[in-house]
Amino acid sequence: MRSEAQRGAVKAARGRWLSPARTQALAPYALILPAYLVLGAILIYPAVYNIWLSFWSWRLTTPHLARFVGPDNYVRLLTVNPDFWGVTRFTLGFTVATIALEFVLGLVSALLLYGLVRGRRLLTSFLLTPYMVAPIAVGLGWRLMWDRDIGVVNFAIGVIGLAKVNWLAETWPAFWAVVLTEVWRSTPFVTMILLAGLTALPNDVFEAAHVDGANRWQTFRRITFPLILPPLVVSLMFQTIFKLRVFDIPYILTEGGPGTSTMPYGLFIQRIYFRYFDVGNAAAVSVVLLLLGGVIAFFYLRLVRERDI
Amino acid sequence: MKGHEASIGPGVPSFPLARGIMTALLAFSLFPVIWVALTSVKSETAIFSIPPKILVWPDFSSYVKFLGFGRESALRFLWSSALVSVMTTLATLLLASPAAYAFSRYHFRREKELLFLMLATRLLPPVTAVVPLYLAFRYFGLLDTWFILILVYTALNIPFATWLMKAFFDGIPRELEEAAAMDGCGAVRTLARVTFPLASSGIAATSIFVFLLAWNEFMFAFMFTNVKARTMPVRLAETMGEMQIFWQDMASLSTLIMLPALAVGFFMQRYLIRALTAGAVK
Repeated sequence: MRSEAQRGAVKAARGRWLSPARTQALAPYALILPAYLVLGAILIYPAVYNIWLSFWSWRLTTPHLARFVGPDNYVRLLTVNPDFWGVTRFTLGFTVATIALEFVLGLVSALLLYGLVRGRRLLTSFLLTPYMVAPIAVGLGWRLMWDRDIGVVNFAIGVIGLAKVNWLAETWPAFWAVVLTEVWRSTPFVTMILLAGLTALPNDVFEAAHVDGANRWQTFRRITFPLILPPLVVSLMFQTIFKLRVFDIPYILTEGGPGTSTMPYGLFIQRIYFRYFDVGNAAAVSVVLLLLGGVIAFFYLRLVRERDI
Repeated sequence: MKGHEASIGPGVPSFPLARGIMTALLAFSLFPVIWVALTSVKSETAIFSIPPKILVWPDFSSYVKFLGFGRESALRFLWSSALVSVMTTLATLLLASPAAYAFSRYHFRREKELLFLMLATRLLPPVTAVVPLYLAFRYFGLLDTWFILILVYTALNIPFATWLMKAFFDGIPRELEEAAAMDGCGAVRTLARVTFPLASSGIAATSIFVFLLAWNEFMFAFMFTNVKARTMPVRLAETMGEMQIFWQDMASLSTLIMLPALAVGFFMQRYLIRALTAGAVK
């Protein structure tokens, strides 16, 4: 029950449009509005417009011939387009290979950094270095190192006595060159996530394991690994989604070649759009990439919910 | 780590082995950066010599060319990059911190859905925005301007920045703000004197993260700029000529891009790591 005075105050407040209560209720919306306007214009609108564009046959060179064609672009992409499946295969293979390698290297790095008594800060800085280098500079620097004639990689394998490899011009060497370059660049991210996870663990569980006579491997397998799994799964989701959209490093190292054997979706979209000016087709590939990311996010989120991690 | 103490811990490999692996990892991480920096002071003939030269008489001609005021000066690209990165950082903070504050301090209808929507935009692949944005920017005659780069980078950073700042605001006890209000501080003064100073490490972490992303970004700059607004990464990509790569130019421009980023990363490491690992660890 409200008192007479309170009722009066509420009534008075209702009377004015910007009453203190109303201001208080609207304040959060006013605070978030500018951010959403920018997001809406730059990220959400293009995503929606892209879906719409993907149902059109539209070339920038002949805009007057633009017409609505329904699912034609998708049908052509999946059945006629000579490159689509190759691009898909590379994108998925690249994602799996990089994630696997980064996970192993990142875990080893994090465990070693954690075990350091002195110099952890400095060594962390050193191991973090690749992550701060612009991907474009990473690509060019490694292109120099992978070079068939003047590259240090071929020099090093020559010292061991192996034959030179034409890293960037042959299918499988090019795949591994792109993968290893990306692994070099983004392993530090995984390392940092895992190191933060390790640092947050309570020390007494390890002491308990030690008292119970567990050796290093058992401690790691039975205690450490399950405990750092939750942060790991979350970062894996983001890493996977970021890998699917890779652009800079394949563009610089191989330009997607030889043929389209190292071409990810991002580069494929860029090429369809800026080389063939085919807006509808580029939009259709974008939607496929979007769906792929969505499926992976859904899969990971379900994993998180089911295992309650 | 000695004796039995070494086995108390999360399962770290034993010391001699650990030292060997650590050395290998360090070499793997640092060698490419050092190699690029070294190549930047090698003349073309030294670059092409086999076996690769490690000791060279430094040749700074490439730096003189790019940092001088001549026709090949790279100063305007550096200026472009610096301007776009700093403005992006400011714009992101300006838009994300009010939003983060609202999500942290208020309870309002559709709060959860709105926050989820914001985080979900992180899952949108930026490359899919290229075509619609290109058409829109062309329509408005905005291609090749700093403005669109700042706008796009800001939008890309808002979701993560909001999330990060929200975590920092959540960590500030509400009681402090209430105490300030009781002492007669108005809402604005409470924010300025209590909340923001306490959130300063969050602001630092967010700024560094956003700055590095904007400084290093290539794809949008490559597709949306041409002459006037070209940034350093785009200029760097141009060292790949039709027939050959100008290796010394490539290496010196790469070094010029790397240096500020590495300096920021090295001196602000604590904040950067907090930004990188936010959310993954509660």
